Amino acid sequence: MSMSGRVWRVVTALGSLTVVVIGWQLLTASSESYFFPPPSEVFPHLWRGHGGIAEPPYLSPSPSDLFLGAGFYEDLVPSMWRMLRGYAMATAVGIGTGTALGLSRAARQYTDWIINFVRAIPPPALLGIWIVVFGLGDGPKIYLIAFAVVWPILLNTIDGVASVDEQRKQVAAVFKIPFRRQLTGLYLPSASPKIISGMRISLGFALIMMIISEFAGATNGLGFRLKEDLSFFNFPDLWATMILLSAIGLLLNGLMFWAEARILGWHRKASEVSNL
Amino acid sequence: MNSTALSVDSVGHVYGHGTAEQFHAIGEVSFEVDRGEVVCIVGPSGCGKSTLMRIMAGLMRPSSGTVSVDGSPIEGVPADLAMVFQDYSRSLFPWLRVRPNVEYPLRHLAKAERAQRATDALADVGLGEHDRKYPWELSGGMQQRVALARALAVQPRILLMDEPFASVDAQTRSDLEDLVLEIHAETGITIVLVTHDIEESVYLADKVIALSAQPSTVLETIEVDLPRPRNQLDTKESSSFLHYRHRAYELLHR
Repeated sequence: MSMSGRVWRVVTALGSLTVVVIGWQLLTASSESYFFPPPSEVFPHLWRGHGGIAEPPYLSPSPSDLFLGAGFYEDLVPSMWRMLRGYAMATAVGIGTGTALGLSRAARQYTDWIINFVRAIPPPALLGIWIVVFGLGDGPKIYLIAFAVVWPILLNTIDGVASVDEQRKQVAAVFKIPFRRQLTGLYLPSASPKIISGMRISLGFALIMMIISEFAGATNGLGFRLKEDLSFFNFPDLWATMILLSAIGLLLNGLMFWAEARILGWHRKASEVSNL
Repeated sequence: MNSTALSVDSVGHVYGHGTAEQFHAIGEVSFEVDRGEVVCIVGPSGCGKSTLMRIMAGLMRPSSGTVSVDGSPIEGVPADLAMVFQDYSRSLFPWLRVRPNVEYPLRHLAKAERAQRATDALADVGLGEHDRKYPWELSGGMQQRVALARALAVQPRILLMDEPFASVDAQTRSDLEDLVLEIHAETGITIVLVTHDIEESVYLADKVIALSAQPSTVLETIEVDLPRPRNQLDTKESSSFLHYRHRAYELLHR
């Protein structure tokens, strides 16, 4: 995309965002509803302490704090850390197991129905039993996130590894490439477009599961705060956290997009000239 | 010293034996390839040429018969053998640039040796300038040159080529044929090439093996006694070339 095209996109995005925020302000300021405070009230909750039932803010107006508030350390960081560990675990298990199953038709046949059966369980339904089994603390939350988001990665890895081109396998066989190098040099790169698309689906899902996992048995975190704010009717804080979550979602999506462009540049361009 | 590099003894192949889809691809095929020879296997499409090539490469076990390299029957892919596949776009790795594609089978070598071999092989196929490109940025003919360079870089004694020029245009095709002859003259490598193009087989080969339709058998082995170096004009206009071409054509079209 050209430079001016990029600038134009940013301008239009900011323009529509401004319109939405102004509309939000106008609608809520004229409303008596307690549940929908206007953004002029919500946004300051991101960086200013309000005492009483208000939660510690995520940001700080002070440069000496690096503009980070107590809420950043007490809730945002623990939440993101849980999510990241759950996601990393799902990625490792998904790619590892998926590769093994992708390589063996027999293993796929045996496990196919098990995977579909377990995958069909809505993960939030497990929240209660999870806490009973694994207890409180970070462990069960991380496992729940990993359990919930592993499926797209697992299934896409199986599909990607199982559909490696037959002729490329023969190339590896003719040149006597050792199995481990076939794995890293042929199977995984060949499956990488599918694996990464699974990882992108899972990342968005991990954010959702992080919040859900903190609805019970948690003493901090963004999900915990949402639940607390709701029970104390602390709606400005509730909305502030939601704005933060939306910003995190955007950021993660951007990171994923960037990583994908770097890792899969060959795939996008090669697909343009031929069907691989 | 035994001068036979590769021998195919009574090889036959049936796909899906005993099933409803049973397909008798190769009846019984025997021939020998001498060291340093260029042998072309020619036959109608669907005559099991590619199957035969995969059996010779040790990628498939034949239903009957054996393939021997240097007198001993092969178990899996023999040492010192390389192969060029028909479909270059599915044989090269699109996630690697040209140079790493050529170096891919050389990982067991030291880095400097690897780089040197890739440089030499790419220069041999006339692609010295293009080693930083991705294969899909190149034309079909150039991609097949990369595949050829990858095969040459392992310094094989036997090079198998499975319809290597079937998917390129006529001009590129004759260029690649001459390239193969050039490389053969320089290295003295043993080449077995499968093609459905009679003219190509006579132009390249010391020996043309004409196969029947499936289940294929050897119709005749034509010893091609044309002087080398050959070239597209003089060789193809010579009366003996026309004679061999005539003979092969008769065999395959009767």
